[in-house]
Amino acid sequence: MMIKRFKIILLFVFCAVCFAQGDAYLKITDVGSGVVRLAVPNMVPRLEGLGSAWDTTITTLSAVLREDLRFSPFIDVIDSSLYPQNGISDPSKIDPFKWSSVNAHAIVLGQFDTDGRKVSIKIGLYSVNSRAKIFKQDYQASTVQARRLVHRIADDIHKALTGEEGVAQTQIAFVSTRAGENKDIYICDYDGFSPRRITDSRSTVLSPDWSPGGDRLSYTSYKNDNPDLYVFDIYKDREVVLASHSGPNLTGSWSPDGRSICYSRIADSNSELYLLDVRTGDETRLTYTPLSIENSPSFSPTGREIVFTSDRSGTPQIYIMDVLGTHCRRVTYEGNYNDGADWSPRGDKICYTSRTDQGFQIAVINVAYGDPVYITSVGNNENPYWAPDGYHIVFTSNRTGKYQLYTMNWDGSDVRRITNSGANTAPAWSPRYRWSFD
Amino acid sequence: MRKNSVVLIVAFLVLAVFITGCPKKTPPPPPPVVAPTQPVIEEPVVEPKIEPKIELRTVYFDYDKYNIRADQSARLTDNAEQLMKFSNVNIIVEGHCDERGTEEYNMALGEKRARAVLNFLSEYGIAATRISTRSFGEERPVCKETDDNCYQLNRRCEFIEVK
Repeated sequence: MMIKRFKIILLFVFCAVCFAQGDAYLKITDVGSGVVRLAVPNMVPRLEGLGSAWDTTITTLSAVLREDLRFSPFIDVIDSSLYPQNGISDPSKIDPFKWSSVNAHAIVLGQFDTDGRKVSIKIGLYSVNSRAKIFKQDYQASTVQARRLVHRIADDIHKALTGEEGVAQTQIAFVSTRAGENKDIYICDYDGFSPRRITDSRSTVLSPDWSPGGDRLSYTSYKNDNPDLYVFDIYKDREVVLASHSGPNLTGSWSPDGRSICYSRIADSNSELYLLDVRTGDETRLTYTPLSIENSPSFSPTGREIVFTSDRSGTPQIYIMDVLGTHCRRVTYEGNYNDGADWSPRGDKICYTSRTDQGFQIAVINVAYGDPVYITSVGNNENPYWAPDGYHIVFTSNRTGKYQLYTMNWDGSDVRRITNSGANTAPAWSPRYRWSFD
Repeated sequence: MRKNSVVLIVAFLVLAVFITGCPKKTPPPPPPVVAPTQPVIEEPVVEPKIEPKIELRTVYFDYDKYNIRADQSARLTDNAEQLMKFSNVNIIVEGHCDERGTEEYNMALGEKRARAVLNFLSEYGIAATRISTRSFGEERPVCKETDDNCYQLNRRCEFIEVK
């Protein structure tokens, strides 16, 4: 009976996620009360004699799992200090009466084992009231991959609960000055962990963007003096120059099929948008406006339309056109500086940077109708970029001094700072990943 | 009474030591400060400049604008005159912006500023082939404070000589 009710809740969440944007909107603004109240007690060692040396690891990994799941706007992870039961791995030991005191709907029970070289984690997700299994799986990875393995577990639990995979396995590419004066591209996990350097330009690199497959990055680099457009293959560790017209060749956005990149370059002494075939290098010009700047394009998830910035009205504003460069319409009318739009992977919303009386702030506007909603207010906030789930945004802010990367829900809640070292800008959120484990 | 006289004598002695001792203790006067002798610098033999140097001055812009400001056109005219005179000098015009606004938009804006300067110079009569442009957007500020004064210094076009 309870599991049935729970499944109905899940079905409702799933429907909300998949079909009705309006419903999902309400769910998201309901962040805090959450949809599923989830308990994630620390995992327990499989053997008593595993040794206390692993206790810290187990505690850390359990905390990572909680944070990953707490990241979801649909899951409310209950504060672990309130758990009435700890140290259980057998679902038959779940005491529904005790858990009702913290109003838990579901519980994740994990069992940790290791031989020092590999870790294995058995995960079970259970309804608290019926003790019925919702999801169960065994995981294994080498010890150094343990943290990523937990991200995988979080994504799988998210899928079991909401019908949609989480984004704990995603990554963020960004530009950083952490190695000195030069600006280079780095990639980190979604939570800012394990940053690694990608380019060594010895100059300045700008605005990275992911290919839809997540295997390549496009960006603009000054390494050969002129700001040229490059593509870097992450797995082959290989960089090729894609466009090197005189003047800025500014990377913009990959089409969802991965075949072309919409970017801006100089034509007729002015910045215009072009569609560039990644394989052949053929270019198609999309805009013909010799008097105004066009740049910062972003594809709609259907690949049929492009949102971009133009100052044809006298100030930079956001416009939408189709991929042939026709059917152009203006999206923003509020304010005199709106730029850097990114189209939500769900298709319904566009986030961008807007200059307000309180400095630069992130705004979200519905593509079809409505007024912009300003979702930041502290310091200057720029460069918003959607997570592949369409529920999170990564952006840069100077609220604490130097520009740093932050993530938040698209209603502006749950702001998390994810970088500390140097100045960090121009974030781009990767598509969804599934890590492979040894 | 005798004790008293002893005290007096002692007091007298102490006083004497003070009076006579003090001058003794004063350190010898410091050695006279030797006036720093002017190091004899051999005046470098100024070579008569055979060719006077070209000195192109930076021009500045308004926020989010790329038109040549009225107060900057004299400067730019002077630059043009010099370029006329030094007809063998080719230049790169570098466009820069302040840090406000997105990096991408500022890249385009910097390019527009550089090209506005190029247009001015070419209308003045400088061959456009002698001039190339480059935008650094907001990437190369000359001033790193976050105030209007600094922003103004960063919204500029610089002139780089190309050998």
